[in-house]
Amino acid sequence: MKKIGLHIFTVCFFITMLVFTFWGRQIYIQTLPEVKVMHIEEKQFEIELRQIESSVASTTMIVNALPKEAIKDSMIYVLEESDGVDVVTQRSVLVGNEYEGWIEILSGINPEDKIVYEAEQELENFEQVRCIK
Amino acid sequence: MIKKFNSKCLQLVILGVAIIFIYPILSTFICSFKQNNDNFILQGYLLILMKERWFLTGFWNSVGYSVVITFLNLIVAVPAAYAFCELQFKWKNVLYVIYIFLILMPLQVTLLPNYMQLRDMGLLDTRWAILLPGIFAPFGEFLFIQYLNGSSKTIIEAARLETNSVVKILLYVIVPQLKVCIFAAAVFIFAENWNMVEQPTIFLSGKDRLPLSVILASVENIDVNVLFSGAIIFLIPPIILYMYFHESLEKGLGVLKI
Repeated sequence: MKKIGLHIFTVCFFITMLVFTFWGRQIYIQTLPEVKVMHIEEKQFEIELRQIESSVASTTMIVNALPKEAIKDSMIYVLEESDGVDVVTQRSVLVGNEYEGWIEILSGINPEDKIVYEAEQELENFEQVRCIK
Repeated sequence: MIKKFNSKCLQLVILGVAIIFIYPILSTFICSFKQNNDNFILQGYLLILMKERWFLTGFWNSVGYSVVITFLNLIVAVPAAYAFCELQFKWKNVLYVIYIFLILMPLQVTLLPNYMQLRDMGLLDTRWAILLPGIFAPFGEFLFIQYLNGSSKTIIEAARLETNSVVKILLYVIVPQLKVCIFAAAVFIFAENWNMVEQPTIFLSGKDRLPLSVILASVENIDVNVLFSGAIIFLIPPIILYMYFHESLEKGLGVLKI
């Protein structure tokens, strides 16, 4: 009876620790900024060919491309998993032509890389995120 | 007048020493509520409990090691102390002196032999590497032997007339007699194992088996205020144990006069 406060504190402390052990991670993940990811896609680009006497001809070619929103100053964010949580890492890419909201990627991305094309907020390198797509 | 002045001086000195001892804990406690960016005072606690997975793994490892070692150490120590006090056998005193030496030896001296033995038994990097040396640590035995040597033997002799069963004598006579001392030893053994650093650092390599005492000391890339919150949580279990058994601790040590 004398130590009732201590009993309550002890029980509450260990229950709190158990709750955080089982559900803390899930609750934390729900608080992370949401991002949408995609793989690099093959797109048909229409390329203008300028000839010497200013005549213009155009041709189409298949290129690897990403949406314009995914690239900022030749940098993209790639989604990786670290310690059970999704983390974005910044990577530099070599870009080519732009066509209808898509940018040609010449190098810097593997086909299996998950690239962030939409984020809830401004991202930072190694920031933990929640992938929703 | 002079007596009163001396008493005041002594009180001041004690207060000064108390402040020196309490200051680090107090400063850790205050810093655990300070955050760099937000005013939300519990953010550090939430971050360490939700974001840092290693923290809870280490916490439960520490709880597991400390509880199991304390419980099993007491189970081993009580019959061992009884045997030491009641049985007559050759080399008894020599064995007792070895026990005393083991207690007096710094931990670092016994680490290497323990390491070699655990390696030969194939127990390195397993939880047994931490549990076994802890379970058979001689501190509990020493405490109980001292207590039993200092107490009256008449109750044990009377119990012997009633029954021949050593287990019954242990359960119904020795354990109640040692109750205060057992609680005192439990607090000591728990606190010692809760704070262990050297043994896990040397005997374990897998991060998932390390106790919180080691992980907290080696963690990197984390906000220092969040770490303070972790340190406060780390302090709570030994404090709870002390709050439960502090009367037994004082009585147990008082009887032993150590």
